[in-house]
Order: sequence, then C-alpha cells, then structure tokens
Amino acid sequence: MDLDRDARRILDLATEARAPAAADKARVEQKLAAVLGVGVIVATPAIATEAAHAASTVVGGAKAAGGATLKWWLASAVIVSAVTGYVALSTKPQAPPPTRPIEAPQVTPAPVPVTAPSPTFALDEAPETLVPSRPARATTSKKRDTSNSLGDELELLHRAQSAWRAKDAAQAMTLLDQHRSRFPRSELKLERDGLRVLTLCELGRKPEAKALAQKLLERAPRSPLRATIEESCALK
Amino acid sequence: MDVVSDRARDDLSGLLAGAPEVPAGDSLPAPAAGPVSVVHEDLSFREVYDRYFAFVWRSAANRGVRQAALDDVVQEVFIVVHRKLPEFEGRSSVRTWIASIVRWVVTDYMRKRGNQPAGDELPEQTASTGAMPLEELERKAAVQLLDALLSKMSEEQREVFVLHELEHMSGIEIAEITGVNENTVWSRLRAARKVFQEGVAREKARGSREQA
Repeated sequence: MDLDRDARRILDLATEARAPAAADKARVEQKLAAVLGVGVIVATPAIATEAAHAASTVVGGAKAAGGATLKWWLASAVIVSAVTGYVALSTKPQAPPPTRPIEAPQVTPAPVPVTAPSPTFALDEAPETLVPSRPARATTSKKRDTSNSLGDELELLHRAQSAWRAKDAAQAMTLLDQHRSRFPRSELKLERDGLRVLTLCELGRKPEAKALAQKLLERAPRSPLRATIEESCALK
Repeated sequence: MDVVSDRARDDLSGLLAGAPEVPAGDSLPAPAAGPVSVVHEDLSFREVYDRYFAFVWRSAANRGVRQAALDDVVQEVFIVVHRKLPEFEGRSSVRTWIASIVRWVVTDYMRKRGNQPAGDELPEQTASTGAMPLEELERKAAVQLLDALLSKMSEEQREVFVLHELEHMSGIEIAEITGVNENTVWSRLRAARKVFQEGVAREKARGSREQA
C-alpha cells in the first residue's frame, strides 16, 4: 500500500513545520558547549597558531573592554586549550566557523571540598583508562549507583578542570581519582584521562603522563583531545 | 517532565543544563557493524553537528518528544555523539549511526517520562518561516494530524514509518537501526501506511462533510 497525494502532502507539511530554526541550533550548541566543557571543535596544530594570533588581538580587546564575558557562540575549546593559552575566535556573530578552535567559556570554579589528601597515581592503578569505553551491558549486575548520573560526572570533571586551570594540580588529581572511583565505567573516560595527562604534566610526572597519553591515543586515535595531548609534556 | 536531573540543574546553575542521566550499564548505541558498507565519513564533531542537527531535531520530534523537551533530548544525542565519535569506525553510515543514538536516547526519555503528567508540554511551535498565516495554520494542522495518526500505530510501526516516510531511510538502513530483518521492516511499513492513509482519508471525509 502506498500513500496518496493528500497523505504525502501532510507528511511534507509536517516535515516543514518541524524543521528547526537557526535559533534552535544555536541554542542547543550553546548548551552543548557548556555541558561538554571539552570542546566541540577540534583544534589542529596548523590553525592553533593562527588562532593564537587571533586570540592575542580579539581576546585582548575583550579584556580591554572590561573583561566582558565571551559571547555565547564562543563555544568551549578542548579541555586543555588553556595550556597553550590560545583561543580561537569566530568572527561570525551568529555561528561558529566550521573548523576554528574556540575557547571554553569561563567557568566559575565550583566550591571544591578539601577533604582528601592528593593520592598518588600510578598507571597500574588505573586499568580502566586502557579498556574500551563502550559501556558494558548490565547483564551481570543490576546494581546501579544512584549517584551515577552524567550530571554528577560532569560536575566532578568540571571541578577537576577548574582546579587544574587554577594551577592546583594536586586538587585536580584528587578530583580525577574521585571520579575514577565513583564512575569506574564512565562514558567520559577519554575526557578524564586527557585531563589526567595534563595534570600529571603539571605535577612533573612526565613518564606517567607519557605512558597514559600513548595508551589513550592508541585507544582513541581520533579523539578530539589528540591535538591537546600532543601539545602537552607527555609527547613533547 | 525533563530529562535533566534536577540536581545537575540546581547545583550547576545552568552550566550543566541539559545534562542527561545515563543509567549505569545501559547500552549506548555502539558504532554499528551492520550490513551497510559505506566509505568512512571522516567528520569532525563540528561537521557532524552542522550536518545532522536538523535530522536529529526532526527525528526526536517525530518520535514523540515534546517541544519543551526537544532541546534536552537533542543535546543528549550530541553528547553521546561527541563521546562516541572517536570510536566510530565507519561500518555504517554516520546518519544510520546517529539515528540509532536518537532511538536510544528517545527511548530512554520516554521510559523516564513514563506516566507522569505532561506538564512540560507546550503548544507545538513551528519554525518561523515568514509564511502567511494560512500556511502556518496548514502546517500546524498537518503536525497535529500526523501526531494523531502516529499515535494510532504500534510502536514498531511508528518507528518504521517515521524513519522511512519522514526521514527517507532505506529498508536496509532501518533494519540496521531497529535490529530486525528487512522483510519485517517492509511488513511494518505496509501496516503503518494503512493506518496513516486511512486516517488521512477519514479526516478528508470529515472536512468535506463540514464544508457541505
């Protein structure tokens, strides 16, 4: 049975009606940038240099204007873009360009509970960094960590990121370890390990950073974090 | 109803707005190893977002996600895409892979929504196209009729109908997404078309009677 012309017309009209507006796309993009916090646009070394130049002028201008908050369309960059200090900016007011890296929105660091001493980290203590991040089916256990929501995970990672940005690498490592402990099967392992590599660099633990970075890139060679990790102490 | 955890919303003051809960152990759509062999589209997340945003948005709406929850559901889809894209090996088309993710996320949303009051259900809003009011009305009426008729289909029929008639996916692609064989896809589509066609005919007849 096929559909007649009237039925097709209904489908066409409904399809038109449900097409998203440009504002819908921009709004979701803005939210995504805030949620992911790790960048929705991949920086490449070639454009990073160009971006750094742009940042030095455009961001400088923004700061000179009173340190105004970056506009929403400046979506977040790779989690560690601040390492190299570059910021890539779009000159388009309505939408980010297709390939430019862009800076993470300035996130006010959440209060960080100072409770646990910074634990030491060894690669052999973090086997989950090396296993596929594809989630296991819940066939072996119905047990569910009631706190295991992506929101909780993101919150913890954001706090770790904020600590790292604030040069508090020990606290960042503590939070990353908390994350690993609470969310051993996290979907955000790649992001967590990327930040861990940088934190290890910050702590001067280059051999560990290098080992983790190599395994991370073996695991996900096309990770959006690749460029950042390659720029870090781990692979330099 | 909202897919966003209240805690995330409250605690992070919007920073994590839209962050979905991902049940531990639930299986996200893995990069498919289905029968469709395509050239790997080596896309960045940016490109995927630009290319497939409308598809995701429309698919979610056609699967019954209400206007007020569309942002969150679409956002959740792209969070999964962002996480999984580095692992995507191109054994299926990107569109098929993303359609699978939409399916998973919407199913999760519907499950969480359950029987709760639909307090978030705002009137459907159509994209502002600058069209004449009559055309807008026509579009809105079409959406209402479509939704009414989709609701008369079984879940399996509705899924196949949406993917084929609204998203123009092939039988093979739909089989890959839904995990059933292609014959079953066509069988469901026939039944769904019958429901839809008969519904349109009834509506047309009713309109004729009212005009008479």
